[in-house]
Amino acid sequence: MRLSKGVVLCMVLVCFVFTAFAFSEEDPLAYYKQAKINWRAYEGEQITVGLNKHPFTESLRPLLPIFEQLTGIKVAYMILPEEEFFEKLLVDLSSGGGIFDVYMTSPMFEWRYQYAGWIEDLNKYWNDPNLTDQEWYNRDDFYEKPLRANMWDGTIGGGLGQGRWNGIPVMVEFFCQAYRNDLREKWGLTVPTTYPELLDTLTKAAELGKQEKPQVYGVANRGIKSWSTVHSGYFTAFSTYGQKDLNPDLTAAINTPEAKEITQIWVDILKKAGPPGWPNYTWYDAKQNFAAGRFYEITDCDFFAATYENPAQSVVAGKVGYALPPAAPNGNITSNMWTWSLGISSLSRHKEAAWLFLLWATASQTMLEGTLKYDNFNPTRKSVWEHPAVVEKTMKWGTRPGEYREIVDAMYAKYGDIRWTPNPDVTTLGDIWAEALHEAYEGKKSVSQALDDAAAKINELMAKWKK
Amino acid sequence: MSTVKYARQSFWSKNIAFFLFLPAFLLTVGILLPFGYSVVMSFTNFNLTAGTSSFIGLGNYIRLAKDPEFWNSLKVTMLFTVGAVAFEVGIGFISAYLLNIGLLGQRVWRTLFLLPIMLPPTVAAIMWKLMMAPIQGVLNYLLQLVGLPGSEWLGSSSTALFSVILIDAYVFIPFAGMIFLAGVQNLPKEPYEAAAVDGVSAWFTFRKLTLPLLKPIILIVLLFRIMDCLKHFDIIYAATKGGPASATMTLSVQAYYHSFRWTDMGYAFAHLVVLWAIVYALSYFLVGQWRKASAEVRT
Repeated sequence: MRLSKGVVLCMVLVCFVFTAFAFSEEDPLAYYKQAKINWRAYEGEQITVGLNKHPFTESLRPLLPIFEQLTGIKVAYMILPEEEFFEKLLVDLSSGGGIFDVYMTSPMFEWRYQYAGWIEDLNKYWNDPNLTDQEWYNRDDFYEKPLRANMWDGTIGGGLGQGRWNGIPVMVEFFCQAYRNDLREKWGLTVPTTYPELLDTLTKAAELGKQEKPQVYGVANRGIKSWSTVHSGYFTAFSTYGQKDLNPDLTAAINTPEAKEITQIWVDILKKAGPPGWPNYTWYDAKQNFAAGRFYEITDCDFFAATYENPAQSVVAGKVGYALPPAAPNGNITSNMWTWSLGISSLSRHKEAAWLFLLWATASQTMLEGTLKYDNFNPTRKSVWEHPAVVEKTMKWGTRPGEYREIVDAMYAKYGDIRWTPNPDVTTLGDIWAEALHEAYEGKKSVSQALDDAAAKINELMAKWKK
Repeated sequence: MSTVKYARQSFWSKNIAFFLFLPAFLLTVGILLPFGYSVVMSFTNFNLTAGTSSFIGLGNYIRLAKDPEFWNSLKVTMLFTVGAVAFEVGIGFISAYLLNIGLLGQRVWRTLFLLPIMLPPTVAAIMWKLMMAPIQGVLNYLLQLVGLPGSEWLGSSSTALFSVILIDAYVFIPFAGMIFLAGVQNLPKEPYEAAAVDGVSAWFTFRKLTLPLLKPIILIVLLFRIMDCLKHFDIIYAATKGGPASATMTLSVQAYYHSFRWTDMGYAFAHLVVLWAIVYALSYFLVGQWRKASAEVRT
């Protein structure tokens, strides 16, 4: 059969169109090539990244091939659970091992690393025009709080937000209430707005939860013997009551009458409504068990919402409400803040290559992909948090559109900040404090005695920093 | 006059004793050097963060003596050791007998019996931690299936020490059992034949014959397990990190906190020197008892 010229022409045109589509894939490196940076200046080198087992890590890993393709720098990494990660990192830094070129860090640890000379001042690389295109990177795109939290001038007891720049924040977390709205309606409970109300509500929830199959417990909270147990919901409550860890003269302030009052409420919440075996409960347990529907409420990281709202990881997706932390008697609300950041080890033999990694990992495009495709929350760049696709995704979280976003915005604007007093031994102080919470919870000491004894140990600890 | 000619000795034959001794010497120095360093640093205020390392004499040891956490750690270490060793020696001994009486499938049982000791202790601790999780752990599920209440296991100060003892026993009962099995299999037959002829009871045979003959083996097992339990770290740290409320805070875990969490190395070394002294004193005593028991068995 002979085909007409018109039919042949159409077939050729169709083939052209398909071919054009096949070869018009977006270049994943296009965004980075806009920067006036010689990405391939350290081609052939290898860097090792120390990573904590964390959703940010899971968002970074799939993107690493892009960095390798862009720079020709090979990336090796080691992932460890949080407590073990910090201990491994300490051994590496203190022994001079230098395994890690880049590592996940946070302000509380940077205060120790900076004092000991284990972390690089990023200003050196930031101000080097051969390494950095400041205009393209747009540091002003970062929210001020997490960015300045990674800056410290070394003043023990102050100096936050000034001087050395230790890390670039990759995510930020505040501490809010996340609760099962479906159970709240079923049981006729209200969202607590004060801590005594919180105690009352959670105690009722724990009692009502016994009738559910499987049993639903009152509140999930981390409890392992570590500073991190103090850091989250507890320190949020503590600072809401206007309390501090240290006085300006570096003496312990954790045993004031108001501190004892809020600590007593907190311990009562844990005893009456907390998870069984609380002293051995990690944040991994708390997040997973809330997502598995075993708790009425969780007063921990707000960004866990990304897990709760993902039906592939959670049975409570679409059933969770979010609320600010309860207020103090005077109406005050605060939240502690934690930000994971990336820093460069002073022991690294590939510092410039490490800096390129930091630039890439915290660039707007990388962080947008990390958030959109792999759920890295809460983003630390405004352009990411306000990106239409991120807004669309997070608008659905909560009992009404935009409920979760309002809390994060309020935390950034008003309530959230780092509440710890900068000093190199802050995590030791936190460990001692966590032990006091354990002792009070286990009934070994009263709250008052436990905090008084912990304060005495903290005073002993801080004596060397007063000179 | 006769002349005696001696063959010239080569360099190697002149010094062979030295060269044969060299590996043992290097090994001893390799062990003693870090130990000596630890002892020396225990007399300093060596701190990794502050960068200090000045001689402070007995300062760390005086601090230890006044530190209630040190005394608690010492108590927990002793309780853990007594509990774990009692379990391991007792059940190991019974297991050895059961594995020697010719049960059906004895070879299979012996292989299965050894499985726990093939696990790294940290892995065993994590495995048991998951099984002991109060909410989602399988142990509480099984208890509740048969109508028994669940336990908080590692999550309560009243049950945590017992729970870590159970984990340690799970891993090391096979070790004790295998040594006992070797001992039981090598018991001489003649005394038992004589006892059978005399018509003595099994219990009397066990008390007056088996136990004394096995005494050197029992002391060897005690020596190994006591030394290991006194300095035990990995199972406890992986399972509880020394909590809740220091219920499982042994001396080695306490030393770990001071060194790798709080960077107070000098004070950590002082803990370890005290621990070493305890281990050394107990093992010296047990070795002496073992020599005495071995001599008695030979006679």
